[in-house]
Amino acid sequence: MPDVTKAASAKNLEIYREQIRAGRREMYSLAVCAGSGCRAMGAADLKEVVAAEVAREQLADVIRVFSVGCPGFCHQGPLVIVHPGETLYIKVKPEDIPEIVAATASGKVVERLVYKDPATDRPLPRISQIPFFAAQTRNLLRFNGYIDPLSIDDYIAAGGYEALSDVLTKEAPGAIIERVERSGLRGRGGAGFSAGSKWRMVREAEGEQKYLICNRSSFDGNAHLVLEGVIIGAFAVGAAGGFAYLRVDNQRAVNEMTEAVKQAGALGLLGENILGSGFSFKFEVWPSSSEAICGEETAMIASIEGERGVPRVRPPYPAVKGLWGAPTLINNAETFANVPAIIRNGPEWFASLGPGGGTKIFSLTGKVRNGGLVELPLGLTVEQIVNDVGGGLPKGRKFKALHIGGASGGVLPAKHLDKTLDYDTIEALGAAVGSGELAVMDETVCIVESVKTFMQVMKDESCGKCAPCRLGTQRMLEILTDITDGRGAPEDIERLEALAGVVKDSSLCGLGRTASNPVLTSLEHFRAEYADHIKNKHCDAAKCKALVKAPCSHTCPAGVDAPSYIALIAQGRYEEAVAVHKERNPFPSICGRVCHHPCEARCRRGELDEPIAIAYLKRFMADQAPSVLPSFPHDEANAEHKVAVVGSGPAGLSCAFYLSLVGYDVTVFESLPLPGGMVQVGIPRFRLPQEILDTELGAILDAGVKIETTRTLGSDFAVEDLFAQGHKAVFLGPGAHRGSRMRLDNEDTLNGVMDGAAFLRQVGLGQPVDVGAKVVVVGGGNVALDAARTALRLGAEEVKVIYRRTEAEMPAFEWDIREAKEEEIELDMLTAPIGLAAEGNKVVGVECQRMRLGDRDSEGRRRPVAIPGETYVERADTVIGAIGQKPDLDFLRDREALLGEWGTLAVGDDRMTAWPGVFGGGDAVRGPASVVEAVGDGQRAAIAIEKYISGKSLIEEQIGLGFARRVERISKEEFRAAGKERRRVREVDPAVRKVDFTEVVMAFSADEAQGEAARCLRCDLDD
Amino acid sequence: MKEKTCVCAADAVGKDDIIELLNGLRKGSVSLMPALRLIQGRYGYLPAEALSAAADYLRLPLSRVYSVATFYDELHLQPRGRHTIKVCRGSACSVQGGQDVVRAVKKTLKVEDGQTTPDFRFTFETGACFGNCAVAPVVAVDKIIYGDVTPEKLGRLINDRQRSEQEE
Repeated sequence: MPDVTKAASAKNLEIYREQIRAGRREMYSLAVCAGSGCRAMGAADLKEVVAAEVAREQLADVIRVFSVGCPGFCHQGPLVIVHPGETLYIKVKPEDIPEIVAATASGKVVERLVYKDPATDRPLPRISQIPFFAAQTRNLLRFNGYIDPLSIDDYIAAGGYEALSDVLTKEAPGAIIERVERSGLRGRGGAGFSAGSKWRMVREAEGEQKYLICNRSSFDGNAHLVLEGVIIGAFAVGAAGGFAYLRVDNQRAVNEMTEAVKQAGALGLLGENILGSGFSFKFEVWPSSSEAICGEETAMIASIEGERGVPRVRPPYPAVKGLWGAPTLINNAETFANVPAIIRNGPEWFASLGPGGGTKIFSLTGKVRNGGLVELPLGLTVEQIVNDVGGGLPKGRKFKALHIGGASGGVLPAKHLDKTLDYDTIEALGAAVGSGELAVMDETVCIVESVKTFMQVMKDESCGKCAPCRLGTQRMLEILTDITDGRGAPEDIERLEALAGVVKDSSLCGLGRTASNPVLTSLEHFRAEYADHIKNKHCDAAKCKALVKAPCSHTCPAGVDAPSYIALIAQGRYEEAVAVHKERNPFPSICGRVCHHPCEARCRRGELDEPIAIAYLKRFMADQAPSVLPSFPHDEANAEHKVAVVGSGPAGLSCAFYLSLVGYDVTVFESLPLPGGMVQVGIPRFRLPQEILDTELGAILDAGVKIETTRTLGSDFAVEDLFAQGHKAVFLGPGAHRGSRMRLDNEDTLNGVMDGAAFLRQVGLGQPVDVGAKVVVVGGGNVALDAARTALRLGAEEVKVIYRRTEAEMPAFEWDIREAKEEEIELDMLTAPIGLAAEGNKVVGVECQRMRLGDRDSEGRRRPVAIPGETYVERADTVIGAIGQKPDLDFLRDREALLGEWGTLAVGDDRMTAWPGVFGGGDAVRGPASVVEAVGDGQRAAIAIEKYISGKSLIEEQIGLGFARRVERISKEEFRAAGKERRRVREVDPAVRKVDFTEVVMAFSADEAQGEAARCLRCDLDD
Repeated sequence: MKEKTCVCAADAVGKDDIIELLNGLRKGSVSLMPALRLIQGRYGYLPAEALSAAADYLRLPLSRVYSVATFYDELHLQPRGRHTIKVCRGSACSVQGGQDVVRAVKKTLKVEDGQTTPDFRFTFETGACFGNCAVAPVVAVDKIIYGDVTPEKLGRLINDRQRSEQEE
């Protein structure tokens, strides 16, 4: 070890530095992460294990073992790094150590322990190869992973205290302040006040004695780096004493700073006459309490003075009148840590690091693949941070919001993905860079519940001195709790907003003034989610315990009791399972094949490994007992009440089914020759075989429903006629069968051009369609893909789908996209039709325009923008436009009051239109939506119609089971035996299936179904 | 096995003990927090007698000592459990399921936030962000921080403490 004990001058410091560098003889070093993240994941004893192994192998002369500060890759911890070479080992366990030590000594790499590219599985052993690190700019964290945070020698060997030595010998305080000002450095503690201006205020303030406080915060960079900045700051402003104000519960930070202060003092870098410059500075560690309020500068001062840590009115600012009445410089540790590099590399260098001025350390957490501590140039976009740095969201989930700045921060929704993260932009959006906490939220995070949790923190942390914050946070918490517990009142939203405004405007300090940020930003962007909780007692994320029996059934638009039927499947009780399903949804066979199963997206098992295959289970169960009917209380007296249902789609038939089950006399009028609506004429047979459909529709007739086909409302009869015939109520469920026009010239007159819905309808009704050799389908939704795949099966040699955005934006379900690609349907993205090419009255091609993605719309989707000049003609024998459908409500043309904004049928909460006794649901109300939503509508309309006619609620009593527990749990042994893995279904080979309408997806076997069902966690039985 | 009871509360607190403990601290409010931390370090909480003795030693009014002692969450006027389970309620932890962990502790120990089990084994509390957001949700058991905690993992942590106590 070097023998210089006191670097009494700048020259001595340089000699000392050279001695340390010369003393390092080991060929390799093994750095074990000592960060809190890795410790929390079990790294606490790892360094000892490594040291013992190195000693045992007698490699102490070859390999140096030491702890390093957090490299930030915390999701992958515990971490071990080999220098030189920067080989990073992840998720290291004690038993891996001998292998690592042996490999290191022989210059090899243990491949199984290095990070692998998630997409290609290619090993990326070096830190610089890993995108998580490559996307960062490491200035403040440059020592993390490289030097021992408890060693001043390591810091000095790496060039530490050079900047200090420079300014003390060469620089006037005024010049230092001028440099910090020019760098544009802003306080990293939260408010973002210019550091240089603050330093100048303290410098110019009058006072014999001046102090410096380095504010706690869990700064994860090197403590000596902070300390060097602190001493430079003290010299610049003329402070003679100061404190490192560190949270006592952050033991690691307290230890590191205590040690740094001790080591720097011993070397003459602190205390009297620093480096012989004549400047003296006394600096101590002050372990602070964990109260958030003590981060507020006046409260912090009060706490050091031995008072209750409550804020006082500013001005006077601490820069003028601070600790014990003296001018006091208070900056965050991260602010100080920026100073040495600004001194060494110059203010221009600092400003050039990022458009927002320098870099900032963020803690990237929540639903991202690679979370952890990251240092980023200020001014990256939200999207760059989430996708490039964070590696995107896991499990293919959708980005919902980024929460910035902790409990007093705000949420940014998808439409702000292009916003840059810098102080001014973020503040303008109502959030705060603050502590630098970035929590990525996906659709499984409930905004209201998370805002409630933040408010709980603010309420607890409010010091109580001023009334707006003390009472306001409490009251806001109460309102939020009411909403998440299902007791919310409609006026709560306005009440909450008004209160949040008052607390923001009238609180004494920054804590109170920012406490409302989560409420205000979430109300701006997610107001509908609050309303959904209040009005529908529905939590879209299926998180609010009081509202959610089980996430799957809560998410199901028809409210099907999935955990109960899944449990019955596990026990082989299929008939009971089907009966449970049909209590809420009479189409298990159909939905088991075509439902987009939102239930699976919320399945809690999916958080552990993979969601339960609910849809495939449903299909299996229904195919075992297709004709089972649920038992409902049948009231003979209801038979005298006639109800008419218009449209035999899933909405109309569900409505008819439930009314019939309790005894009403229901007749369904269908304009087409076959019943079923879109499930009959919209969904191709390779997804839903005819005999399955017929059997399931047959069960509806068994329940007593009468269906009259080829009876069209508008041409054959009017709604008034139905009432005149004695029907007490009418349900309108005519669907949305009218294809939207592509708005191309001659679209309606040319042969070979049709809309997707009409095309599928013709095929569904068995009418011959000649599509020719080449088909172009326009659109990106499920109808477009169904049309394309149907055209292929009708004999088209080449089918191309063109869509104006990219595949990522396609509204079609991912599994449909995959199946279409397997069948060699070409997806031509970023292409929009602008015209039709014709020969005579026959279409021969589509004029196409190449597009690119531009700005985002209100939902965060990028708008397609034409690329000038890039047009071409795509040859086609048939052009199918599948860009949307509308309901055909011409029969209501004299009653415009019944129509909604988009030409849909308007209904109230009671499912009734403005015409008394006329109810509505399904696609006619929603626009094109799903089968299961239509079922939910029909079911709710049936409840409403029963109440309307007889004032009774037999249906509601039967299906409104709420939180009832119905099926017992299987044994623990059976649960364990089911294993972790989700059962897969087989699909018919693409080459075989694409020539005819054979069903693509094959069914589970009984063993597979029972095993899969046994994986269910039974959330319905949770407390 | 014999049920253990907390002995710390029964310890007699003498004024001389406090003076000896605080010996060397400067008089006045600047030493108040350090003094209270020393006392709590010895007794596990702040006995009433100790507060009076500290006020005398520091030459501060007892009301002043009391006002500070009741302000900071880290200071306790009541005896505490032998183990403290502290669940982070920071935003990252709540996004990652911290509330499920809180519910699990309440259910397992049958205590609310801030309470101690009747056998003085466990005190349960929640705290502001621990700064370990990357491995959220985070729980500290007696100052040792554990990351990626699930209700199941928490159950194991509690069981381990219970078992090691029984073995003692």
